[in-house]
Amino acid sequence: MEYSSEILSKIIEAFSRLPGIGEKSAQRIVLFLLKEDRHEVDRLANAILDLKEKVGQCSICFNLTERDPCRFCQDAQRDQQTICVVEEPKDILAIEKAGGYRGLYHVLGGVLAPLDGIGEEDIRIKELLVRIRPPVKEVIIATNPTVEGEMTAAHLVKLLKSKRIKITRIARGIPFGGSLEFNDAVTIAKSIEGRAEM
Amino acid sequence: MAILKTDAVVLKGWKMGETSKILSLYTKDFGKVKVVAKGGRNPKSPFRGCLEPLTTIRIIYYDKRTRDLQLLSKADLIDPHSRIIGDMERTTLGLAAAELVDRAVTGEESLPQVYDLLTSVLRGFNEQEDFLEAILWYFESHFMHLMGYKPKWDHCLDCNQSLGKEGGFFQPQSGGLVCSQCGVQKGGLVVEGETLEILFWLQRCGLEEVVQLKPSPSQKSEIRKMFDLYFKSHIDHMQSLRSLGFYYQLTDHPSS
Repeated sequence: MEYSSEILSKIIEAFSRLPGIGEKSAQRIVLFLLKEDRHEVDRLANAILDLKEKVGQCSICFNLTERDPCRFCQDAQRDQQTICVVEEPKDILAIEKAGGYRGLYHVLGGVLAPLDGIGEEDIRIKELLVRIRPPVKEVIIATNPTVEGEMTAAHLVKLLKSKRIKITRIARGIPFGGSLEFNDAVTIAKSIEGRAEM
Repeated sequence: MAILKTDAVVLKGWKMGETSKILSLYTKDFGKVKVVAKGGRNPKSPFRGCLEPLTTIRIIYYDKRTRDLQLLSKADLIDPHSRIIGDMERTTLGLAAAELVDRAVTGEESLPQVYDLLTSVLRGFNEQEDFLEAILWYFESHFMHLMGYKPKWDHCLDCNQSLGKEGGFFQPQSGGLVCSQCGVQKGGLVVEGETLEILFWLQRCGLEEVVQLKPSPSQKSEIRKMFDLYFKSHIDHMQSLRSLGFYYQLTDHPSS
């Protein structure tokens, strides 16, 4: 679509490249920004620039951070004996939002995906193995319950077996507030398989 | 636009947008079909649990001839092959079979025998023990036959003499081997007679028998190389299967 201003069309095109944003939503965002105070727009522009300039990866756990090491790796109050292995930084956000976990993290940066040619050297497995030394006593594997996620978990178990630590896998089963009859067969089978004693 | 119902195996999946997924399926009645499962990655999606590679599902989809990507309307799980999931060896071998079908089949020509073969080997990977790679060899051997390029492993392509224990020179483009005399000028990959016996047996044996195979390391390496060369010679734009490269790395050079 052609717009009356070149700047307008440039910024709409830039916004519509963002995930989940179509051209119409991009138009709405741009028109909203035009109506906003200069101060608010400056704040947004600076925040975007800061994002690229200041946010990087933690050299220990590979989470996104402004400071290296990140606040989780620096926090002595967190359980230093447990590392939770996740696929992406967004998984840390989900676990932190849920509360209940106070240990450390390790971001793999993906999963093993033979069909896409993603192998062991393409994700941060070596870096995880280096971290497995005292005081670490447990590794929780929290990759997604997909074919690739399960395969990665199985591979990690194989590699960690010799390290004499506890290896656990996040549970799979019926979601809280859910109902058995509306769950798929795999989820029900896995929840029976992974049942816990009460 | 037609509403079609069939059984299918999920060969591969790609994320689309925030919550949807595109699937490459091999269906029992309509060959290879690509569908979009809108909202398929949403936790409340009715497709949940049905969209992972190697699962066998019953689907209903809207088929419009003018488009490449069809719309998935309903999916029910037939067999999740749950033992395959979480087992490195079974998963990579299952994915190799799916990858081969995905790369070798281009159109929507219906070949129910390929569907039956694929589902039976996936059941094999799920249930069998021992030497599981032989199930993939069985699949490759029968898949070649169904696709119309069954190789000749027992007689020389030139003089028709039985190859016997002497073996021969592999000529993938010609569909078999030549004996040691005919091969003097032609050359090719040298294959042991015992390897050819295994390949010949794979064309005739039952699926439940194959895991009993105990090939030597050299036979294993020859068979792997021969299947790879054969597919590359007969299928356009075929490259070595990525899943198999992964499997060889895991089994032959384990990290621990």
